[in-house]
Amino acid sequence: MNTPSVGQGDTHEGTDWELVRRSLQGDAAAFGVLVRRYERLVFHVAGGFLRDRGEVEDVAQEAFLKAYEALSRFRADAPFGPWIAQIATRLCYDRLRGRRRRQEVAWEDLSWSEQAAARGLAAGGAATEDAAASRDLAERALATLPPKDRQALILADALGHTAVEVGQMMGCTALAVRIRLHRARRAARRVAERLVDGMESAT
Amino acid sequence: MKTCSAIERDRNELAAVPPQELPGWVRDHLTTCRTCQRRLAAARLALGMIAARAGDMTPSEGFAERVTHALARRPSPEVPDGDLWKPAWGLVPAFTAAVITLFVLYQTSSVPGPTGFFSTESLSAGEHLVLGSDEPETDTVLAAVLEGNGR
Repeated sequence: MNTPSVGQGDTHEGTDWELVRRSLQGDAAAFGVLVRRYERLVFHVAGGFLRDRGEVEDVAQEAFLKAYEALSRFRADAPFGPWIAQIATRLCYDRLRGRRRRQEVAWEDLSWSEQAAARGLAAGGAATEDAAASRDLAERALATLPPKDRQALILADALGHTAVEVGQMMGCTALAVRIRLHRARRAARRVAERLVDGMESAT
Repeated sequence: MKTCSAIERDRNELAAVPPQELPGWVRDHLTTCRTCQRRLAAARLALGMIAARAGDMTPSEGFAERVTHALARRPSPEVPDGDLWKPAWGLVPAFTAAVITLFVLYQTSSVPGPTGFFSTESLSAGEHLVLGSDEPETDTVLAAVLEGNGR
């Protein structure tokens, strides 16, 4: 999976700051270039928080629209990627507020296809063999993690961002990200161990 | 056991390696050690779930066009305050020059300056310290001259 850039873009279409300046002068096409440049990053950020694809797309669109309205507050020396990622992160927090975290999932609670996906992953198979079932399993199993911890885990361990980059995207320090990562990895391992125990006792 | 602790230490790295590509000593150990089998299976499952949760969240076709289309129905972004203030800064030299001119004119004018905001009496500390008084009335002056008290 390609990791989308969070840094200052600089292509033949202009740097982020040049595109922001042109957008502020009413050039909507310039903002379109920014959207194409950072849409994958925003989808990855929102996808780490939200499961439903339609909801992810809604958040991504809202993030770009909010960024457009607030363009005048964008600092010239700041990279656009972390800025738009933070807007998307805040929108996800707003959506998740009030939603209750799910209870820990037991092996018996998993559907047949989720159990099959878990067996495949535990044996070293790729998640893409039954992508939908793997994703359902992951969503249920990792839903017990606090959203911010889960987001840090996905951005760092699945998408390969550094702690500094994750901090820029989530609006916190790299140290805070490392602490979250440590906690999230431990929690994910504990969930996986419980599922493996259930798997073994079921066979 | 030494091998168990080595697997425990490196389990995240080992979990990312396909089973058939694991080092020989790890494969040999896994055939006999159920604890390490379980640990490695859990580590693989955790890694796999994290990767699966990230999923393939790529933008759908035409997403950027839909955003730019939605922008067309929105007001233009606010102009930065700094830009609005730029013309105002140009007025600062003119304002300063006007203040200096008025000050010079005031200094050279024969028109007396303004009197104080407070009367002198009100500023006196007591009845014996009167620094000034009201101007005498014309009738009082005339009476004093005509009646001879004005010497």
